[in-house]
Order: sequence, then C-alpha cells, then structure tokens
Amino acid sequence: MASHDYSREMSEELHWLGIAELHAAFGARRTSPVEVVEALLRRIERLDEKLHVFVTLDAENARKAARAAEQDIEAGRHKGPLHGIPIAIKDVIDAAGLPTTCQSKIFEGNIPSDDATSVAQLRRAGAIVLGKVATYEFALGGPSFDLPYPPARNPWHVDHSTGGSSSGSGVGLAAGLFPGALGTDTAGSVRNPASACGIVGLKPTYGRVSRQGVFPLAFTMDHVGPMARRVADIEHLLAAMADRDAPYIDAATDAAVPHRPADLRGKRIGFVRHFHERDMPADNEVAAALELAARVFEEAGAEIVNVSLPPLDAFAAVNRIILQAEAWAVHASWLRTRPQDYAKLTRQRLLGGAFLSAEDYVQAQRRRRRMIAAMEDVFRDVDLLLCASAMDPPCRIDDAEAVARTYPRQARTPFSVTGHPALAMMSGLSSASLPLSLQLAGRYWDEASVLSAAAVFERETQFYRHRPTLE
Amino acid sequence: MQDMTEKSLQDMAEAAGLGLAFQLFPEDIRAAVKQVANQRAALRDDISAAEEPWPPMTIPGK
Repeated sequence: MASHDYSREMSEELHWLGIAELHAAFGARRTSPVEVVEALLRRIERLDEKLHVFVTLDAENARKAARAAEQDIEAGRHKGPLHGIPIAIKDVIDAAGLPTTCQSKIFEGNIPSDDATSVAQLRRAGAIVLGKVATYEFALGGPSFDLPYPPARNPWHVDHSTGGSSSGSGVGLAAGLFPGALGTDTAGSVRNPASACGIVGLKPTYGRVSRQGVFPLAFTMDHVGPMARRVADIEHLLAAMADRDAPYIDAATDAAVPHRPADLRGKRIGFVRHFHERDMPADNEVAAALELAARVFEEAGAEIVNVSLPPLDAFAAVNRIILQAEAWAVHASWLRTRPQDYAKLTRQRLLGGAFLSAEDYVQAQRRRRRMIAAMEDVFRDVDLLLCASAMDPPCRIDDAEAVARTYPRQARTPFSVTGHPALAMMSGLSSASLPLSLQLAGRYWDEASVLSAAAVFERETQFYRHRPTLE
Repeated sequence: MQDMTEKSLQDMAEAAGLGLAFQLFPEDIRAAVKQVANQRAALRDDISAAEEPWPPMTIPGK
C-alpha cells in the first residue's frame, strides 16, 4: 500500500469516517487499514487520558492485523465491508489473549484464551480489534469511582454521565476513537450510552447474536449489540454477527447494501407517548425532540398512530426482579466471600437478588409473558414503535443524587423484557449541547425495518454531523 | 421495613450466606432488602395460580 495516494486533509479526518466510508475509501485506495489504525492510535493517545475509554489497548496486534488486512486488500482478497475496520470490544466480552476484567477486582488476571463467538465472527469478516473498553462493573454498577478503573467520560461534556453500561463503546465512538464497537444490553446498556453519547446502538432480537464468551449479567435478558456513529455501520456489524440459522431479511445480510434509505410509505409507526408523557414525564427538550421525530417519520410517508403498552414501572419492576434473581445466581459466591471487592453501587444492585424468593422470580416471568403478549398485540397493528430512550439529557457524572434519579428514568426496559429489537439514536442536541435521543423498536427478527426507519431519520435530520469538541 | 430490626436484618443476611457482607456493609443489606420490597409492591396485577411463566415450555424442533 506504500504507493496509495491520499491527501493530508483526508488523513486528518480519518477518525470521523464510518465503516461504510472506510470500506469505500479502502476500495478506492484513498487510505488503508494501516493509515487508519495509526491515525486512531494517535487520537487515542491524545484523548484517552481524559476520556478513560480503554481498559486494554492492543496497539501492536492491531497494527499487525492492519498490515495483514492491507496486504490482502492490495492483493484483491477483500473480505467485505468490515475488512480492515478497527473496532472496540466492551470489557465483558472475551477477546483471545486480552484481559476480560468486567471492570472489576473480582476478575483481575482473567485472560481468556478464546474469542467470544461475536468477536470471532467480526474478526472473520476482517475487523481489527483495537482493544477492550470501559463498562460499568459487570455491566451493572456505575458510574463507580471506587474501582481500579476510572469511569469513562462523556466527550460532549467530560463532567457529564456517559450512560452505561457499555460506556467505553459509546464514548469512543462519539469521540472518534473507532468507527464500530460491541456492547451488551440487559436493561438498556447498549441504548443508554448510545443516547447519552449521541451515537447509534442496537439491541437486536433476543438470540440474534450469540452470547457465548460474554460474561453473563442476566441470562434471559442479555443481548450483544452493535454500536456505531451511522446506521449503515450498525447494519454491517450486525450482518457479520447475526445467527445465520435465525430468520433474517436477505438484504440486511447483503454486505454490498449498506442500508435501504427508502421512504416509509405504507409503514405504520406506533408512538408510545404515554411512556414519556404520563409514566415518566420527560424533560421538555426530550419531549419536543420526540414530537419532531414523529413529524419527520410522517413526512417520510409513515402513518403515526398512538399506541398503549403496560406502564413503564411495571416493565421496570419485572426487569429488575429477573435481572437481580439471575445475577444473584452468577455472583452469590463472590458476594458471600469477597463483598468488599465490588464497587459500592454494584454491590447494592446485586445484593437484592439474595432476598428475592422463587415465587418472586416465577411471578415476574409470568408477568413477562403477559408483557410479551401485549407487545405482540401492538405489533399486529403497527410495523414499528417510536418512543423515548432517556427521559433526561445526561446529568453530571459526579452528582450521585442526579445519577440515581435519572438512571431509572428511561423507556428501554420494555424491550429488554420482551426481547424485541430496539435501537437508540440521537434526536438532537439540548440547549446545553448534550445529546437527546429517541428509540425505535420492531417486530421479532425485523431489525431490517428498525434500521430502515433509523436510516431515514438519519438522512432527513443529519444529526450525526454534530460532533463534540475535544481538542 | 421501618420495623425491621438490626437483628432481623442480620438473620436474613446470614440465612443468605451474607454474614460477611452484613458485617462490612450493613447499610447495603438494608438498602437491598428495602429495594426488593419496593419491587414487589410495584407488581400490582393479579396472577392466576395456574398461569405459566416465560419462556414457553416447548420442545425444540416441534
């Protein structure tokens, strides 16, 4: 690749290119995987001291993989849209030879010898693993200041919350440290940092992406999900990880088609207004941005109808009981023998599981079945759902009261409980220049419709062009 | 919850094998017990005795 020609201007902006743009640039020989990895490593070196994204940076292996990808591409052995693309992995997901810390003292010295299935799938598609990135401890507690690892910082305002638990993935994307990342989502942990950091995060249908090699939080609600700055990039990541035995729309696995930016004529979108108007009244700017989003979808041809689901507090209660019961089964032995090795917030959230009964768990799973039925009823009448993600813009990260107050004020748990695919993305900026967000959800296995609607919104609003000022 | 004595909290913690956690972090145990009580209270609807839970009990491939 020594002979390729690219401008200095392009080199300076490499860190903002998305996966689809980099794929095109590699194909046109405007840049190369080595050039991109080096540019990102330089940016990480400059910015990560204040953002705290990386738990483990694997610069040398990333360089080695970039050189191999570059040689393959030069030789015409192009594997597809992820070939030579640097990505980051949330530090609860195994990558062979790199520590999986779960950002916890409990897992110090834990170095897996194998990749998680999702990581192996991405590597097979040609992706380059830059390293492991910050999470709330065990994908649950946080932001915590009593761990060996500092919490990641929001690039829009470094003194504000990143959302969690896939905090490093969200921050690194918003800061231009990498173009794609993996997160996990049990109660909203892909969609929360996507909302707080102004990027795109998809929780696929439960079971769409393998959980093998991912340290569990709550088995029956754990999802692995792609995160990126652009909708098309989410689709590329998902296509590489999707379970081929599961039903999936053909075009979404066609790597040559980044997304279908069609209009939305004939689509019915159910607007779940009661989530943010009655159940948990949202911040005015969040609510206004949701109304604007509904108009954007309407102008793109969709029919917007109001729909009703069970109240958010009922979803949240079911989510918490199932999560705590299952997480207790994972953590009981450590909580009994090493309670001091957890951060306070994690310990507080996990201990509840010790006091739940078998009856509580089964009753929650009974209610879960009803909630799934209610959601399925709604999806018989509409193709998609539009609702809030976060009810508030990000609060200050060092304001424990504000973090505790705003943490549960969200509408992500309904889809964690039911397993429907759901995506969070930026819906504008607040008056304080902090990201606002919306959420789109679809029928089981119909990530394609969710991504199509998100692509239309992205095209019509261009909010992805907003970037934090970091330097 | 307000009536729960330190002794009854300790008994609950020890029954769950959390004697050490109670010794080191009694306030976390108290908060956890309170949190669980609130979660139960948030589930208001009636459930019939015979209602089946999620996931549906099916045999793969059927």
